[in-house]
Amino acid sequence: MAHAIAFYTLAAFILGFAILVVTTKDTVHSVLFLVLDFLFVAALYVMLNAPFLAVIQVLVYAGGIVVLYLFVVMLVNLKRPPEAHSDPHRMTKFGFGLAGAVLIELGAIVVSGYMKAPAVTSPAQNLPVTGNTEQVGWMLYTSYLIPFEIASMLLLVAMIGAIVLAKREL
Amino acid sequence: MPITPTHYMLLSAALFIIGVIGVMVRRNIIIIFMSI
Amino acid sequence: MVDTFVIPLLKILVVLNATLVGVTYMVLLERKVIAWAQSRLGPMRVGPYGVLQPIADAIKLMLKEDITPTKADKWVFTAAPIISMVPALIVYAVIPFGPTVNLFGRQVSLYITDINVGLLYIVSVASVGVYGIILAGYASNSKFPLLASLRASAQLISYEVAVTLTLVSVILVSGTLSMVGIVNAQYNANVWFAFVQPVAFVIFFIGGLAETNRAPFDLPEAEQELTGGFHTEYSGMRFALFFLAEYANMIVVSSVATTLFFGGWLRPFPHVAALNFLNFIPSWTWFLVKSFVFLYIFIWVRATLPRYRYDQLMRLGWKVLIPVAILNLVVTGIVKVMLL
Repeated sequence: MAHAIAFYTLAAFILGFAILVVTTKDTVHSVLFLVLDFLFVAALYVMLNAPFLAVIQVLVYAGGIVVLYLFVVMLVNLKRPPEAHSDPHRMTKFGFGLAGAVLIELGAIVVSGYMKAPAVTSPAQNLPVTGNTEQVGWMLYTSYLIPFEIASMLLLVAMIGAIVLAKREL
Repeated sequence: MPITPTHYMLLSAALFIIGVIGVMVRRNIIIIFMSI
Repeated sequence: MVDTFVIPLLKILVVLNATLVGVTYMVLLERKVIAWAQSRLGPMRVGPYGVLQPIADAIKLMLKEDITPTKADKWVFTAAPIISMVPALIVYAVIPFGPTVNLFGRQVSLYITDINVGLLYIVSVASVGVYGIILAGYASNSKFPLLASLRASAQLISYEVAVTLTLVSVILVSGTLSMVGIVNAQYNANVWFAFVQPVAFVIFFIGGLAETNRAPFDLPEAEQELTGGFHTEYSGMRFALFFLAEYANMIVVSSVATTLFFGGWLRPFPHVAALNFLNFIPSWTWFLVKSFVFLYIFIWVRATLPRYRYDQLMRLGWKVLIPVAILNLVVTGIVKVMLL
């Protein structure tokens, strides 16, 4: 019961902040609401018994990526793109309609999946150690090894690319 | 009622929708699109 | 019922009060120590030997006029000092002051909580603390603070990488992420990790100096360089919050260094029975003494070393500390595998 209350409160905050992110005029405020959103999602992870994931979320997302985004926002003077009601190319109503259609479709999928018996798949039977950190590490190095290596190669390429781009401007 | 994984899926679907709407508004909001 | 709510609440109260009092007296300690290093006496008038000086400072700061620049972003301007202070305070939730002791007939653990990922929690909270500085500079709506805050935050996130790498090597040696587990690992290994990982300790200390914007890396707040840095526009209590947040961060870094590298609340040579007469000293006293030594070293370094220029600072962080930290990590990994 308390679980449900906590979940609904957190969900309400998350969705509320997400809407604020999308609708705020001021860019910096928008980014700040995004940070708050990430923090609340981290709280959600804690509720799901994944403290490692929550901490990593705060460390990487809220603490790293958004900081870089904030740098970009502050150093680059973005032109304000035309507002929705003043731009004839915007097709706002069409956009909302499309979003609504996607939502209805997703809802239909979810409801139909809910009606049938949920097919429970429990991966990873042999988890020798407890604790979320060890579990994540174990999975990364055994079942998901190839994606892990590919992801690290991707990060390496991205870093080298960034350095090359920056050096050319010197 | 107990919180099933379906609840979380609904939450993420809703966030995705908000991101989609956001993309149509301005370009700086690509980041929200990644919001889970 | 009592155990789940009342005891942690009491612990939080004790730790918070101790922290806030400690932070205000850190100001006095710093002024005194720097004064003695410069052959003068420091604050002596207020109270005997200047002991009441922090109280005078606090009263002065509280009574100052609270100025908000007109064009500043009001919400962000108000929130920035809070965002700086809160991470510095909530880190105390995972720092172990001592093991489980018997207090008033109850088993009380001398730490507020022991989560499985305690060390990562500290690092992530530190990375959120960067926001306070960025937002302070931005919200002041004037050029100097903005530039200073961007430089300060760039410095912080650079040294965060080096510090995190050294923490990973400590995790490799101790095998666990929880703070209490690390202290226990040092107890079991009968050696403080500073001797097992001296390189990591040195890098952690230097990184800690840079992370807390302390000399010799205090360019962001140096008065001579950027007219006060990122907190130029703040006055009165808001400025006090920034200042206190910095000192609180200093105490946090000292506490973490003590826990990770110097045995936390263990007395020296815990297995040697000949020194058992030292057991009457409670464990948290050892912790406080060791943290105090680190704080003293912080102030000592400030009184002694000249300031780094910004590009020298960044060069040190990226070209020296991070490669050395990675090398340390690799060597630790190799040794650990070979010894297994």
